[in-house]
Amino acid sequence: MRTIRQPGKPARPRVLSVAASSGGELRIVVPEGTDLLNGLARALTGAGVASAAVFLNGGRFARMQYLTGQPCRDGKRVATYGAPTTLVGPVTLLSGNAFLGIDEMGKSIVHCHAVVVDRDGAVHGGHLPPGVCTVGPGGVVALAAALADAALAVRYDAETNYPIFHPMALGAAHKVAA
Amino acid sequence: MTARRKQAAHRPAAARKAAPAPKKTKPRARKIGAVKPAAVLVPPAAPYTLNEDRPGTLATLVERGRYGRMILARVRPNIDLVAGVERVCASHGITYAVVRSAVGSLVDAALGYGEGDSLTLITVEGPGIEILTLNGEVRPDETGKPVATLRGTISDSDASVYGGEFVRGGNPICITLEIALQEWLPDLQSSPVAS
Repeated sequence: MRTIRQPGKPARPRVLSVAASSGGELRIVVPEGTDLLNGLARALTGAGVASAAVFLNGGRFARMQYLTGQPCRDGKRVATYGAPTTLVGPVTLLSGNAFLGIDEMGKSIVHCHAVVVDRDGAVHGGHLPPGVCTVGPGGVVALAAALADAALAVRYDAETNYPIFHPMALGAAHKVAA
Repeated sequence: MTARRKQAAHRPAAARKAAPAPKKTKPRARKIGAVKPAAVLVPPAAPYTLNEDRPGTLATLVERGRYGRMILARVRPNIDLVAGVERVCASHGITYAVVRSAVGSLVDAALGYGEGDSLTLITVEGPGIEILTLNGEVRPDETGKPVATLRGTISDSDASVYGGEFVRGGNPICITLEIALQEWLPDLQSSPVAS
């Protein structure tokens, strides 16, 4: 297995995890005309949820963009995003995974990757940025597992030189370093 | 035939015309060919028993249970995806779990598909391969150790999408893996129900 040298020193522990109890299960339909990531964040925070694990169960986009990773040439990071690919609908969302958490300013943020098929049958996929993925007819269905006593919080990671979601225990939750 | 050529051959003609794959100077995916299953894929625990009522068929096992704790984790760079998931579970004393969501990236990817003589391994070179979807579960092996079986889809820097079973020891995390694993608590008092 090839490993890669990151710009910063390896941080420890190598695996971070917290045990949380369920904050309930939610089924969300993000409606046509709404931006997917912003719509998901609004729906979940409106339901009192600050952090959640989300499964995208499918739907349609009227228009969307995605990013894919590539080697970073300037040495500041090992990988970065390339230019966005824009798909004009109807684009079918096959599946996706996402997390709702909190950024460094305390604002809700969604990190989402998904796989889609375009109007010509080609399969695409990547990182979905906020503000550029407009839901199409029929909406997008998301199944969210809310977290009651744990959170995903963005923290700057010196090892990779990226702001990254980290699991955080809230209240009595027990933090475990593997 | 490379994995890339094989994938293109399945693409409808209209799609090939309307959305041609980006040109590249060298193939980034490599099909290794038939490999021994035990060498690359975790053999699943035998979930089936012979169905005496229907000779020649396999019984479907129904396991009753309920969901338990949710484990929220971050796996740092260069840790193998499959081993990392197992490490998360082991650190919480969990031997049964399901993946609820996962977002992350890989340095390189190794995916298996097919079975028996047709079992094939493809490797996709990164870094920066995006994990698009990740499904799977964790079950104990005969010694009680948690073993993860993970399948999903990835995309490379050319936005080509690949799918298969993530091969143990072949999928080092690149920037991060965010993952939610939910504990599954099987009712071990009840016998499996064959249907």
